[in-house]
Amino acid sequence: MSSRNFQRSVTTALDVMAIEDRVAENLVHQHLWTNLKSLNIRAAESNIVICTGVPPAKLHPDDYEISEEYVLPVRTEQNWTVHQWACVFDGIKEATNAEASPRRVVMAMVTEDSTIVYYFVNNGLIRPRKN
Amino acid sequence: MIPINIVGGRGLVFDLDHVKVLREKYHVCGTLIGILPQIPQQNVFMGLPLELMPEDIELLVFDLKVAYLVDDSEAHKQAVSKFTKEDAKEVRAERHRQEQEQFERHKDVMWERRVAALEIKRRKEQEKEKKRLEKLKSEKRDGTEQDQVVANGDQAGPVEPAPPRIPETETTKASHQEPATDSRDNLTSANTEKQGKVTVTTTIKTEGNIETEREVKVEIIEKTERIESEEEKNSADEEVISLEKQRWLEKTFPESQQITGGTVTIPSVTTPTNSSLKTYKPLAVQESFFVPRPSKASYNIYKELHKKGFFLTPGLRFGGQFVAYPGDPLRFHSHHIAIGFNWDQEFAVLDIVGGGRLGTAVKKCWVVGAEDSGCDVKEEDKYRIFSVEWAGFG
Repeated sequence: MSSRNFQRSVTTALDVMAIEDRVAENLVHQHLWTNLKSLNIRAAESNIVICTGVPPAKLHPDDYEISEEYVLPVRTEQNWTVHQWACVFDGIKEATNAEASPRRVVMAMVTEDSTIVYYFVNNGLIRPRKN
Repeated sequence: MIPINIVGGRGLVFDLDHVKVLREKYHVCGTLIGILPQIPQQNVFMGLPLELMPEDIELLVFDLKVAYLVDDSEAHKQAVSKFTKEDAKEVRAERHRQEQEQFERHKDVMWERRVAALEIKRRKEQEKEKKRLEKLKSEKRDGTEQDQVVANGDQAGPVEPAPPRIPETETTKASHQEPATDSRDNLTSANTEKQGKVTVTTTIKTEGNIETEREVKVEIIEKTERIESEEEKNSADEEVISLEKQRWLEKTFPESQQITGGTVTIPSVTTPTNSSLKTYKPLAVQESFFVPRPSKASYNIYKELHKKGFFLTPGLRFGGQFVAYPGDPLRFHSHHIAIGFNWDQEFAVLDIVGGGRLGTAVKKCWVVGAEDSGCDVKEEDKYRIFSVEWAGFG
């Protein structure tokens, strides 16, 4: 299945506005996140812009407390690789001068029809949520 | 070493003991693909053989080296062509031994069953005989009674009409009942009868054919004696019984079914299910012998998860390469739908959406992994694995 089949028009809203901005806007206004910032990280040979922000409530029942999340915007037409994920986690660690890379990032898949969906990408193997 | 038979490019295990070892010791489940001969019209519960995934084979044969491959087609050819007379003899001896073993296990039960069956049969016959005699007797009595009724027509007391004659073939229920008039006529007869002894002399008073009466009398006495003697025999000492048993055993299971030389016909071809036969040796691999080997990407994630203690089964059910169980699949729900990629192998972002959504819907994580192909990576950091779940919003 080629994801390019899903591209419907030549010029889209996504071309007018950067996807990280659209994601930030969606998080603030639809999901009521706060303290949205952008973070540039080095991933392999390219730069990736990711968003950071604080959700209004715990995102996962196993979370200890509400904490800052890293949001990785991608377009649904794109392809992805495991290597890129590794770069994102390593890149965040580098960019934030943290001791370790974050436990998870939230991947935001952006379409041209105004839908944005969010998925946790956990670094390593985790048990699925209980409920 | 566990033999894995390659049949049409698929690895099969035919021995239940091997299946057990694979599951318990090596955490390899495989898939049972054989139909059950007793219930062939279903495919929910399957039997031997067990089909292994190429990754299972890779692990067992090439990694752990606890199993070896058998070219099944070649093994069959060799089994047939190299089957010697000595082999045939051996097979027969083995069969004979197994038969004897089975016989030893069951002979006592069989004997008890036989004895019980014979006992039931004997009792039935005895019962039948008794009833016949009774009937014969009551018929005689009827004759007497009628005479008496005629003689003492004015007699007081309840005089009932004699029971009708019951034909021989009819069920003997009626013959159980003693005629009401009986007590008046012959008490002795009624009493002795219960002990199986019939004294007829007193009952016969008619002026009918004396000859016939005597015959009947003799017959009745003879039969009674026979029944008595049989009862005596019944309580005969155990020695006789054990002798009887011995005779029966010898008749039923003649030891003389020895394996004789003579013409050797090749018995049914050695099948893969019979691994006890010595045709099981690693055979020279033929050119046409195709062994399924997994891709590097799928084997890497298989090995990674297997190393962590997971049981892996085919993952197509959930749109992945493997489904990973934290313990034996018979006891645990699976936690992960796993797919292995190469380090820079592209997959669609939409696949992450689909996999993540499906996985979350069935309470699993969609797990993707790849081995870092960079050369400056530490061994323990080489395999990167990521678990995807729906975030719960959007």
